[in-house]
Amino acid sequence: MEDQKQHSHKAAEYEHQVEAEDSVTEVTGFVTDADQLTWKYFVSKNFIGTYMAQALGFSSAIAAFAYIAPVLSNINEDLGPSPSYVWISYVYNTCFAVAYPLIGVLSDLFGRRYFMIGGCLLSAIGAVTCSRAQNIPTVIGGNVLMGIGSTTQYCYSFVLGELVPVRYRFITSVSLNLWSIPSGIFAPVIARSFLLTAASWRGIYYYLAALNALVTILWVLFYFPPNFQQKHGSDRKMYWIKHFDYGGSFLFISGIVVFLFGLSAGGSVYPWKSAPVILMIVLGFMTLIATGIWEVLTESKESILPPRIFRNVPWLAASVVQGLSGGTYYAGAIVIPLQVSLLYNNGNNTYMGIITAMPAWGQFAGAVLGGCLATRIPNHRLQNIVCFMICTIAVGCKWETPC
Amino acid sequence: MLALIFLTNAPAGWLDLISIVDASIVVKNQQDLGTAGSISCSIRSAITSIVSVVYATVLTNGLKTKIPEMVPPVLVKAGLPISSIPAMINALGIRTPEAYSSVPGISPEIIDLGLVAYKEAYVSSFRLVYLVGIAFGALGLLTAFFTPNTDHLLNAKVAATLHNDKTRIDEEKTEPRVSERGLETGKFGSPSSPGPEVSG
Repeated sequence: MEDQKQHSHKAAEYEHQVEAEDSVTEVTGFVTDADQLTWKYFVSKNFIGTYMAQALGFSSAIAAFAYIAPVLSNINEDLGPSPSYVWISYVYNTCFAVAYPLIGVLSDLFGRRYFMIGGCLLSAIGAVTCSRAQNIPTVIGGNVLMGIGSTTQYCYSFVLGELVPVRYRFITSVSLNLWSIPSGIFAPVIARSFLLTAASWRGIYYYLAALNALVTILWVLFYFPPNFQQKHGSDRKMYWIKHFDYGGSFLFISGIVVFLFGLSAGGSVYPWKSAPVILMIVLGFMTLIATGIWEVLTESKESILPPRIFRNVPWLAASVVQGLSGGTYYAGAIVIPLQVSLLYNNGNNTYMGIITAMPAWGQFAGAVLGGCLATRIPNHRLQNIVCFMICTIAVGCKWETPC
Repeated sequence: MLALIFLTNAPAGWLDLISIVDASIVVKNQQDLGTAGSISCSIRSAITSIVSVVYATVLTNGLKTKIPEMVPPVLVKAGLPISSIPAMINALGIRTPEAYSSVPGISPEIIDLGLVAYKEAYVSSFRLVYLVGIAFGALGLLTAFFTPNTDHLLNAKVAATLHNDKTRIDEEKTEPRVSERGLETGKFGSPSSPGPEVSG
């Protein structure tokens, strides 16, 4: 009787949540309020240590890709040449796509501590592997490890976000972006200066290995987020391990890997119209649809892609616009270097350098400004709309007069 | 030009950052933050990789059709023998005096005219990329109408705290546990049949 009552109460609450789909009015699951945490908490060694671990971890995760991209051809000359060297950068997207959902749901269920430590350790091992590599496949393998490891360090939006009061999440993200300046914006310059040293490109991997080792130590010493017992009390770990969504994970991973491989291989390794590319894209896509059906049918607390998350329309829109804002960036990233070498090549290297670096600086300036003002200027939806308008009009002007 | 690039990318960076954080704020049960946050990152990187593949394909396909269409007629009109055209297009890709001098039947005027045509072929391919960029921008604009307003959610609440060591767990027991307050207010009951001490 009691049980039934409780159950219907829960069902009503759930329906209430579903009704409120379009406007998120209520958010639950907080553990505390900033009033109950004294300022001492935010200057405690654990908080500062965790912040530093995340800041340096994020920086090294960006560097793992950004420092290597400019010297890819040098690595290929040194160890190859092998046509497969392009996979050194292709594996990253695949690693991200596979590792993100797994890290998210598993660290929600079992506690984040060992995922952050393990991820960083994996990056360090990957960097050591690459630094001693004698052929291209070893570098690709090392980069797979670093890709999976980097994914954990990219998760700052919730790893650090959950530790600060909601209204400070913006400024926390901005401050982390500042830490990424040396590995993001200055990456081409720093990467090329490594080539001048005796260690050449291996020096980059020595640096990454050392940085990741340091970050691993910081996580171990200072990061103590809610652990399994704090999340689930006396529940047995075995129960949760046994009931994990293995079916969904298998479908999702195989689907996304095949789909992305098809996308990467199309137009480069194989022509778009060739059988392997079409087959991989179609099969991958169908497996992803099957994953969706599976997730709807077997929804549980341990689903890897829980439908309850996707029913949150504002959340879905916020996720999609992030990807599409990247879309405007990549148009410039592909075209601008060509425009510079063909149309603006007036021999003035500084001028050419500034134009080439402008998209990254613009993106960065916008992020810092937007993040700092986010809590002062209301109506984020309107901000998004206006931003996309300016952006699209500017792209339109470039279309009108590309030179 | 610089201003245009800035005007494209600064708003993109602005909305990118607030959307990343907003996506974490509107997660209805903050104990799902990791799951929702990481799927959000996943959606983002899936879209960006599809978008960049589309751009690269549009550009290479554009060049593949525009160069043969726009460059050879100009070269022939300027007096270059038809047999030299493939060599000249190669040389235009390298653009050094040595490269040009290896083309049979070349003259300074042919180089000048050829270069203008070659640049025009590139520019018309760039325009194709930007045209697709406008389409993605419009799609983004449409999606932006569904993005959240989080003004009323910007409070001082904290979703998780750090602990010095494991002994702190005992103190926590006075408060309801996270799993009771958070995860289980949703659709699903407790997975392990709850004993009296858990539900109490």
